[in-house]
Formats: sequence, structure tokens, C-alpha cells
Amino acid sequence: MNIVYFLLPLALFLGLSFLGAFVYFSWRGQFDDLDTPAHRILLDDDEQVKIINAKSNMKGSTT
Amino acid sequence: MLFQLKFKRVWRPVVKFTRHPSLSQTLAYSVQLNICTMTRALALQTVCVHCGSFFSTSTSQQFCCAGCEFVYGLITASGLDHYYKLKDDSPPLCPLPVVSSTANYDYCDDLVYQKTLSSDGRKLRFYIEGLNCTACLWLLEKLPKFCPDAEFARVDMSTSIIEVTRVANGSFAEIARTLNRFGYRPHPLSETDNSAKLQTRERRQDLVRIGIAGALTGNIMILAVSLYGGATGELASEFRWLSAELAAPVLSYCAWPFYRSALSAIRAKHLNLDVPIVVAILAGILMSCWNLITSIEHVYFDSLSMLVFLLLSSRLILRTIQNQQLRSTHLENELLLGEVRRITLSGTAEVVSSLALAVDDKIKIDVDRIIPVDGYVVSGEGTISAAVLTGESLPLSVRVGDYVEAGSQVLSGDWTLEVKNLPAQTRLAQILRDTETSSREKSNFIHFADRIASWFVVLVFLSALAVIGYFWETDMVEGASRALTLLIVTCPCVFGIAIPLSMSLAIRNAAKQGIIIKNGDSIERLWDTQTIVLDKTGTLTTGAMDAVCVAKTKDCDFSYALGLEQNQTHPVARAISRYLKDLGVAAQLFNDVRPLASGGVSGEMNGHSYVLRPVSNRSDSHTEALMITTAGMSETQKPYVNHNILQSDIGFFKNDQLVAKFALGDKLREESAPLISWIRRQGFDVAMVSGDRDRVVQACAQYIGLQRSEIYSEVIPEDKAKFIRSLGQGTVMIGDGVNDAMALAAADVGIAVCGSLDVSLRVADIYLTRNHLRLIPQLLSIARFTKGAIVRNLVFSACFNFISGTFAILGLMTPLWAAVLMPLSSITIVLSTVWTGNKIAKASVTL
Repeated sequence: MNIVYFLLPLALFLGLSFLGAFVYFSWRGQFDDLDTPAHRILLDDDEQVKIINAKSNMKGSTT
Repeated sequence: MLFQLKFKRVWRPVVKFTRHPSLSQTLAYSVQLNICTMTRALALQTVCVHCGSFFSTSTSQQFCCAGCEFVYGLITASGLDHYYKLKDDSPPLCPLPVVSSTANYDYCDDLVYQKTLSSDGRKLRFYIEGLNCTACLWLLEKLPKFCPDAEFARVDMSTSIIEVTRVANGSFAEIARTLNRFGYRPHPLSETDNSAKLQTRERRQDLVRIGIAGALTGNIMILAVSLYGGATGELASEFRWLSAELAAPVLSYCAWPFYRSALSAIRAKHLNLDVPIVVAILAGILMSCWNLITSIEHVYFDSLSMLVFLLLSSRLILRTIQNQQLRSTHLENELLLGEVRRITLSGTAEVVSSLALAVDDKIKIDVDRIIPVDGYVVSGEGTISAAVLTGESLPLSVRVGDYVEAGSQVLSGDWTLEVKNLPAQTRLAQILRDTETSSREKSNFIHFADRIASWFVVLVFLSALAVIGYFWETDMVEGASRALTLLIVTCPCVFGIAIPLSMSLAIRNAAKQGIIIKNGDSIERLWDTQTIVLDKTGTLTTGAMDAVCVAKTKDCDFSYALGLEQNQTHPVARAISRYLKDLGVAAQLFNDVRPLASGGVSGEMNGHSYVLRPVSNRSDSHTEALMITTAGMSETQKPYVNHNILQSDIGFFKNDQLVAKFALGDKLREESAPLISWIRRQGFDVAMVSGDRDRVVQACAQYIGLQRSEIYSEVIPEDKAKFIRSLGQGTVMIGDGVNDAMALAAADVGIAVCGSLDVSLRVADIYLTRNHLRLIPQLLSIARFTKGAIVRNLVFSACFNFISGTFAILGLMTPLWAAVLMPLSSITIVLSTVWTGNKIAKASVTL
């Protein structure tokens, strides 16, 4: 059962670090608007598509 | 197109069965003929390409109005046709019918004004009307594409707010005008507004509290499971200490709002829901700590943190739903801030914000704008609508020397006003201030839940004290354990969770149907409804001036009437040409249209003279002859029968011979009469209070079936409020406009109908976003369903608490059982509430 003394703090550490991330992002305003992103994700943004394409092209050229 | 397809489907089988070719052709032809005439008679329903609303037309018109056509042109010209593809899936009510406002928003560029709004001068937030779906979002975030003044736009759909960053030297006024052109009415929002900031802060803090409580409770539960599962020895005591450590932040930081609220309640010598919750938490903490130190097995950190987590979540849900509703922070801007043209000493006009005006300034106000000041007309003449202030449905003409009150809308004419009262000193501002005071008074309402909860809390406390007192001498530990069991098991979750949840579900269901309820209180107050008081103008009627043809001869050709009226700016002319265009009449163009000195217009074509001018009412002899032909008029006239007819009609003359007659008025809504009879069937008293003239009000009452004793006409706003107060408890006021604002605030529940002026939205408890009175029975049925759910939950909870409380007092239950049973009862109640909520969502009421 000694493994518990290792696993328990590890589990707590993991849990608490995620909690920390949640608290941090809450204060940054990540969860202020829960409606719009759900709609925005549905839209194809031509500019964004272009940027992504440009980026992937750049990656393609460097490798 | 659609119609043709259907038509083919109908008549094809007919052709098949008739063998003879010529016979089938004749048959087909006659069917087609019949359908053609039918179509004309029914005025085929077409869907507007832009806004998706249905409208009747006999031509191949694609748009319901010129506004929609214009916006369609704008959108396609900007290469944003994709908007219509996105819109296909959205609800039919999606974009607003275009507001044809000439507002030019110049005040947005006023530097003084900007300082009060924006911190850095680059970003400005607008509250947007008509933002509903993904397509709107897409279009609005594309703003920089079609408005060069905007650099970046970000939309928040939950609050209907768009934040626009302008390019350097860009104009906010231009941005606002662009938004307005597209049919989204913008209202600039103040960024320095503290309440909005505070709200965001509070929401974030709540979210953090819930996050911490949830995460830690989850971990505590895992530890608790192994303890319940029979963990013993060193590990068990480690686990108990660990759960105590994990529970510490939950029971201190996360539960802080409960402590604070309980403390303030005790200070105010009043018991609220949080008091027993806090006492249970504190007692639980004390007992658990004592047991922890003395190594007794039972600790209750798991149930305590779970309780905190559940309560926090339910409250956040409730608050989120409430905050989504219309915020009233922007409302002042609309009325007190507008732009006016000030005439300078040299005689030129300059555009200034209405705040910059001084007494004795001479100003001009554009057509369709609201006058922001009180003053005298010093030159020119025109017409205004005082409907907002008085409920008077007809336009008033003003000339030199007339006194004009703030809040009136300019309908036509070019005239100059001398300022007497600045915006803050006008009667309108006074009404607004009074209204606000009385709506503040109303918020002192004691919740139904709170009233019952106080009794419940006292009862539980007395029982717990009695138990401790009984065991004081003999077995102190047993007494404390039983008392704690009692406190935990009888935790008032029905008040803490179920009632707020019922309320929030009701609010959400109502919002789905287009009813915005600002707070749960109004649902509770709707339960006591006894009298429903209605306003006339804008509530039972559509609120806009409409014309209708009441009589015409057979050979009357409306295209000449439209030709005369279509380019006139007088409101009567606009009403008539709107009506004729709706009928699908094409205009004959006149070379020369002359205004008549007595009012009206005349023109000549092909040797005939045509005149449109006011004629005296019914009594004249021509009418008799005309009425006979009206009897045979087609079906298309039916929807207009409910028109209330006013004292002067407009006659259309051809070669001095009366050929048609138009009545002017404010059209009654089709659903007004059914609503009145519905109210009667429900057993409520009904009254109509209007500021309009007695004649009109009576005519209106007759159509919708109101008794003489139930109508009150020519009532000024202050008296409306007095009347409402005199009715006593259970009064529901339905209205719009400033003239109803005081009454809306005075009533137990004030309901503002769609299209109301912002002031009434601010003071009303409930706001209908769809322009249909059907929502009123819907709202009352939602309130009733909610009451049913709450009563059922209360009964269940009373039984549960009585039985489990008895068990606890008799010592038949341990605190552990109490901690298991309590969440079970909460879950039952929550499920029952959600079930009712779903039922409400499905229920629909017909008038």
C-alpha cells in the first residue's frame, strides 16, 4: 500500500494544477462569453484559412 | 415559383384521368384560371428575400419593404452574400425588419461624449438590437470590410454587445450609421459604467468559487468512498485529515457568500435561507473537527462541501440567466442624448449633442427624431407625434407659438424650436425620475420562498435546541449528534435550489418564446393577478398610423392616387402610399403635383384631374353611394375591418367626383379582441386606459368587446399611475411608451410590448420581444406551471423533512445517513423541477 503515499500527492498535484489553470483563465475572462464562440466556430473565415494555408506552406518549404 | 410547383402536383392527375386531349386541355385551363383568380383573391404569401418574413403581393416582388431591399443591395454589393446562406437555418424571426431611422449618430464623435464612453478613445461598445443568429454574428464581425472606419469588431452574443475598434481618425458616428443601415439599431454603451464591470468581476469570482468547490469536493468524495468502504487504521486517519485539509478552502473561501449573506440577515434581524445553511455548515465543521481530533470515525466534510458546491452552482445558473436579460444601462442615451441642428447667430446650422444646448438656443430637429427639449416653435410648421407622451394616435400639427414637449417625435415639416427646458428639466425627465423611484420601491418585495423559509428555519432550530436540551444532562455527545443529523437532513434545499431553479427555468422558457422576464419576483407576483390593465396606442393597436380604403367605386384606379402621394412627406401621404404599395399598386407618374391650400394634393393627367384631400366624415352624401359598392369588395379587405375610424377621412376625387375614400388610423392588432375574451375567460378584470381621445378609445373598445365602464380615455401619465395604484393588489399593466412608464412601474407587474420606447423597457418587469399579444397568455401559463412545480416540491419537501426529522430526533438515523439522504431528496426535487420545465417549454397557449 506504500504506493498510495506516492500516487495520492501526485494525483492531488495534477488536480490542483488544472484547478490553478481554471482559476487563472477565469480571471483572464475566458469564460465571460459562453455563447458566441459556439457560433463563431461554425463560420469559415477566409482570412484565417489563408493564414493557415500560408503557415502550412511555410512549414512545407522549411522541411 | 413554389406555388407553381404545387399547382403542377395538383392538376397533373386530373389530366391523366381525362383521356380526351381537348377536354383535358380545357379542364386544365379552367383549373388554372380558377387558381389564378384564387391567387389574386388570397394575395399570395411570399417570403422576403432579406428578412424572411411573409408578406402579400400580387407582383413578383422579392422584398417585404424598401428597407429590406436596400439592405439586400448593401450586403450583396459588399460581397457578403454568404450571409444569406448562413441564415437559411436560423429562425424566421431572425433579423429585425429594417428600422428606417434617419438617426445620424453624430454625437458619437462628440469629444466630450466620447470621453464619458470610452477609456482610450479607440474602442466603443454598442448594444445592438436584432442580433440573433450566427448569420448576424458573421455579418457584424465583417464590419471592417464594409465600413472603412472600423478596424476590428467583436460580438458578444450573450449580451448583444459589439465592441468596435476604430481606425486612427475613424468616425464612430459612421460606424453607428453603418450598423443602423444594416438594420441593427446600435446604442452606444458607457465603458466607464461601473455596474457592468462589477457584474463581470462578480461572475468571474463565482465561477472560480464553483471551480474550486467542484474540484476539491470531487477529491474529498474519492477519499470518503474509501472511508465508507471500510478503510481502517493509519490510512483511514490520514484520509480523514486530508479531506479536512481539502475541505478547508471550500468551507471558507467558497462558502463565503453564504456567511456574508447570513451575517447581514442576522444584523437586519431577519432570517433568510442562508442562516440555516450556515448554521449547518458551522455545526458540521465543529463536530467533524472534534471527531477528527478525538479520532472518532465520522467526519462530514464530504457532505458539507457537496452542499456548498450544489448551492453555488444553482445560484450561478440563476444569476447568469437573469443577467442575460436586457440591461438597462444604455437606455438614457437614447432619450436624453440625440443630435440636433443648432442655428448659429450667422444663420447657419451646426450639429451638436443635445447636452450642449442652452436655454433660448434655436434648434432644428430632423424628421423621425425624438425632440430632446421642451420649447416653443418660433418659425415654420409641421407635424409631430406625441404618442409616446400622451398616447394620442393622430399626428398633431404645430405652428409658430406652439409649445412642444420633449419626447415627441418629429413627423414632418421644417421648423425651428426655441429651447425652454433643457433635457434634464423637461416633463419627460421628471416622469422618468418619478418612475425610477417607484420601481425602486417595488423591489422591496419579500419572496415567497423567503417567507416560508423563515418559519422553516425557526422550526428546525427550535427542534434542534430541544433535542440538545433533552440530552444535556444525560448524554451530551448523543444529543449533539442527533441535532446535527436533524440540521443536515432537513437542509432547506427546496428553498435553496428548487425554487430558484424553477424560477430560472421559467425565465429561460419564457425567453425562448420571446418574453424577457427581468427577475423572478414578477413571476411570483403574476400568481396574484386580478386585474389586467391595457394601454391602447401601441399595445392593442400597432402604434403606427395606417391608411385603409373604406369605400371605392368599381372603376377607381389607385395607381393615380399612388402617383400623387408617393413623393409626399406628410405622414398621411406616407400612410396612404404605404397602404397602396402593399396592395401591389404601381404608380402613375405625374409631371406636376400641386399641394392644395386646404391640405391635400392635386395633379392632372390625360385631361383628367385627380385630387386627394380630407373630406368630412361619414355624413356626406357621396359616401352612401360608395358604401354600396364596398359591400361587394373582395376578401383582401377583411384584415382591415378592425380599423378604428377617425373623424376625418381622405377622399380621392377624379374630375371632382369622389371615387374612393381612405380612413386613417391606428390599426388594431388582430389578436386584441381574442386577448380580451381570453382575459375574461380566465376570470380576471380588464380595463383599458388611454391618453387618446374619448371618441377613438370608444370606437376601439367597441371592436374588441370592452364595456363602457372598463375604458378610461384622455388620461395623463401621472393619472394612469394613480389609477393603477387605486386598483390595489394584483394589477398587471401592459403598455408601451413614456406615457405608460409610470403606470408600468406602479403596477405589480409591468409588461412592455415589443417596439416600446426604451423608458418603458427600463421600468417594466417583463418585456415582450415579439410583436404579438399571444405572448401574454403564454406568460401567465408559464407563471401558473411554475407555481404548480413549486407547490409540489414544497409538499414533497415538507413530507420528507417531517419524516426524516422525526427519525433524526428519535435517533434512528446517523449523521452519515442524513448526509446520504439529503442530496437524494435534493436530486428528486431538482429532477421534478426540470421535468416541469420541459413541460412548460412544450406547452403552448392559443388565444
